[in-house]
Amino acid sequence: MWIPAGIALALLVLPLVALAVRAPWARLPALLARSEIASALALSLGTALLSTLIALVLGIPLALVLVRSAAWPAVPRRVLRALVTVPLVLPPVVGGVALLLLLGRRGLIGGALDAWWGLTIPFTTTAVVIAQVFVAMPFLVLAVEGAVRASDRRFEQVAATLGGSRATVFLRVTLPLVAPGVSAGAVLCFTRALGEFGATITFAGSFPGVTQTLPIATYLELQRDPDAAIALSLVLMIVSVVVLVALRDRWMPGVSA
Amino acid sequence: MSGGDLDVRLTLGRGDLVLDVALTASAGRVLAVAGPNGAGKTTLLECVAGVTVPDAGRVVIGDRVLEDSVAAIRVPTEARRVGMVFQDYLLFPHLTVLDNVAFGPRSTGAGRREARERAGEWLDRFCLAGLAERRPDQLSGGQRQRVALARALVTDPDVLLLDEPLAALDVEVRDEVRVELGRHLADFRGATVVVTHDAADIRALAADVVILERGRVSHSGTVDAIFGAPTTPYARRLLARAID
Repeated sequence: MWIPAGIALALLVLPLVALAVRAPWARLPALLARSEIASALALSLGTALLSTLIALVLGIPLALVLVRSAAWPAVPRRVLRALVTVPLVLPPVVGGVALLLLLGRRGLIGGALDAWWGLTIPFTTTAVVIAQVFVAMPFLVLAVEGAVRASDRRFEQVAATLGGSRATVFLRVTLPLVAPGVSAGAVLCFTRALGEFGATITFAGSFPGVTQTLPIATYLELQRDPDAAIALSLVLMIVSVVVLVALRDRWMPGVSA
Repeated sequence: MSGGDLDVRLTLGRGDLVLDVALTASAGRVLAVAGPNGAGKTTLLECVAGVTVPDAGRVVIGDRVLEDSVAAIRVPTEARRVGMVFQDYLLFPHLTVLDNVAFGPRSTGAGRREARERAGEWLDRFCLAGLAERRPDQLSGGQRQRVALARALVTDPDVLLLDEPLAALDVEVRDEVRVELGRHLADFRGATVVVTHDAADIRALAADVVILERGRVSHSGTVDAIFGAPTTPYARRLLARAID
């Protein structure tokens, strides 16, 4: 048991160690100060944050519907669950192709958007956000659904007997009780959006400052200037770790207290 | 502003349970609903509170119709003015004692400060003032029960429902808490329904009693009358336990 476990751990950790060891620490400040890197970082943080907000606004209601679907007949219930889960198992590139076929200039909806309103979505920052939401939202939906399912519905019943309207009950009882699940889902969603590569490059391309997010910039730099790629990887890793640590403490109040 | 008598008539089938009940609880009096596990006692309270929908029936407080399956009337839970204390009290774990009690006033239109003031008055009355800033998991069972009762009463309900209010407590503190509960119920002007399967609760708290067996009323009357003449084996066993 110990040997395979050790190999598994080494497999998870050693690459990160290599990254830290080989990092061009001396050149780091200069590399990170380069304008295309700063703009990729800003673009990545901005779009991942926006995607997470959109996933929260749309994903929490979807999670609630998923919980309600427990009372539905088996077929629609399973279909709904499968639809929500598909992006989790789908290769992101396929997601990107699918988004192109829907929203591309000759796509199912994209054609009409282009013809009637002159709106073109592919290869814009909007496309980056849509790709991220597509790929990352299911993480949030499933986390919130699990939290709601595990919470005691009778708290909502008490709140109603005390005169709480549906909105009051949702905002002051349901949401706070599932807050840890929502935070966990939001963190997963944000880090997944931040790391998004396949769907983004397929659907949004790689235009510096517009659609070239950190992971894409990292991949491209690896061929041009490996040191810059390593620096970008370090940044992505640090951002991910910081987010995890910072939000870990936020999950606790409300549950532990 | 007491809402008058509670009049309930309902039928409901859920798997093995077939509930077919008619009962009245008078304003200013405490009605005990006793019966073995699975007799439908909790379901009955849930139907009155509106969190469970009966198959058919009518629930009336005074002249206010809360539920009437024939006339298709169904007042939602939050507008029923029915206070309910659940068996395990269900204090909101994310709120302090004060904010638990202030939840009702706050939900029914009071501002934050006014809601807290009203909650504070009830905490004083229930000797809970020192615990206002505590979280529910820092309270003893008896304190939780008092908070749950205060939280229900601060909304000035027309009817108060208690589901086995002492069952979650340790046996040693039960007698003491029961006496105190009796005092608070005596101050309440609406009708009170207490579900229990403890004859000591019936003796100490109630004036009237209904015994439910397999979803039907087997006895109904004043506590004294029922204790004098139980007619089913369950009722005899239940009441015998109160004497020792």
